[in-house]
Amino acid sequence: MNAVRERTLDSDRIAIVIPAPGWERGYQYGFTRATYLLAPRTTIPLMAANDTPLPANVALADYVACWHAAPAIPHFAMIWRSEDGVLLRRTR
Amino acid sequence: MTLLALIVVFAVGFPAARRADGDAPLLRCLGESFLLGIGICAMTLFALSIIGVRWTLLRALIAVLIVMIAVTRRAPLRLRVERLQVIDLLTLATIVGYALFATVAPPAEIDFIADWGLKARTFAAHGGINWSFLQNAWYRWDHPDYPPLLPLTFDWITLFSGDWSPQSLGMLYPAIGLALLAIIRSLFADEFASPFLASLATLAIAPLALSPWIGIAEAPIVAFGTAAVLLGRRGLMIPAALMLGFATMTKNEGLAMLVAFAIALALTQPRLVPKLWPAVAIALPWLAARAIFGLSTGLIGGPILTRAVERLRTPQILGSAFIKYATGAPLLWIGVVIALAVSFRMLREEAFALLWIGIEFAFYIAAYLVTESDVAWQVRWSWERLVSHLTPTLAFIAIVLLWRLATRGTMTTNA
Repeated sequence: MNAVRERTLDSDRIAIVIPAPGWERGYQYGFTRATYLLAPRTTIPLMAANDTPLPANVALADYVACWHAAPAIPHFAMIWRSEDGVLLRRTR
Repeated sequence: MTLLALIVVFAVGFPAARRADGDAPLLRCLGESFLLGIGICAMTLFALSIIGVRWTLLRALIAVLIVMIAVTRRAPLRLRVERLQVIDLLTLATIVGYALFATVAPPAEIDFIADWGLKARTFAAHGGINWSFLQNAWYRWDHPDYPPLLPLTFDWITLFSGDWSPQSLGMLYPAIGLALLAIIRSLFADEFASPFLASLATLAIAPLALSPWIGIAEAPIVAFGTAAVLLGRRGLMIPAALMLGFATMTKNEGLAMLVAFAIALALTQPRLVPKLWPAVAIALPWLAARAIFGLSTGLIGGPILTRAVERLRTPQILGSAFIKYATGAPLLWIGVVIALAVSFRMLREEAFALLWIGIEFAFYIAAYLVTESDVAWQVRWSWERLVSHLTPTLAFIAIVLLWRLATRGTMTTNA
């Protein structure tokens, strides 16, 4: 997340992809930590507290930060990769 | 720079402590200065945010300078000095050890990352309280309704360091503990004829005054709450009310502390209740902001009464959680129970403080009855911290009662 921070601006909106099976089973923890590490950037959850996936929220994001995942998302291109994940930037 | 920020906090609080508690001896004055300084600096940043002034170090310093000038008492500085003992060095060594623990790494508590630290970092970058961040439903888990004194204190330190530096924030915690122990040491000196016993009693309380949770709001709420009750117990209502007010700005439990204080006072010394107005005056602006910006609380959502009735019908769930997640320090509890039992006839003399402890404890139990969260989960992750709010005061009263029992016994024997 520190690398994501270096490659984004305070005003950016970043969706967070974490391959966790549920909100209470990993997603909340990862999303919370990401929000702290990326503050004051706006982080966007892709899962609701009732475990419902929120893929439509990607439309609100300038970037998608993916931890231990590398999904192909339409209109986003990979701009950085590490052993821990990838950072995707909106292309249009 | 963190040290400089804390020195300025102390300097800001000193005239307020002199004004609020002009007869305070040295240690009490020093302790009150730091705690009141925290409150004043945080409230100043809060006020700047409310009037739309973006934070800078210069603006913050000018604002607190105005407050200092406004509260300065133009009276000769005469401070009675408590007699220190060699044992006080052991208390100091305990605080130094605690300081090493508090600053060894950035705060790792999840509540620092998810709440107190996150808010402080977001506000620091925004140059003021970021209301739209607090209103954002995506971040409901960061408890937007929680009062902002601690994040604002982190922001005060950040204004001096110029950048977000979480490891340096740990220094705040030994400073808070030192301030509370200075007040306790001074109040013990007033209770005991022997300075040696006063220092020994302070050393005994030190582990309770030094909160193990670095980065979250337990340390300041323990300091403000304990100082308020111990000063109020002595009839020092202005400093007590200020401490209570800052407790309400630290955690929602601080509001419960204020109500418990008012009830305990109404039952013991009702004519003093109106003197709590400074606490109410400090609490109101945040409550107003919370209502205006619609910052929701997780505790009282949904069918509160239904939840409470259900949990009262199945008390074994709450009871087994209390047993399973019992707070540690059995020797402390054995000591407190023995002290209260053997001094049973004298409990009336400490009715105010004991009532406050009892009412606050009842509020905490009530919170478990109405909470939206799973009650066993809530007990597991909060019970020990909630009890820590009360233990320094309880231990102080237990020690004082034992001392009175021993000395009165001696006097009776001598007679």
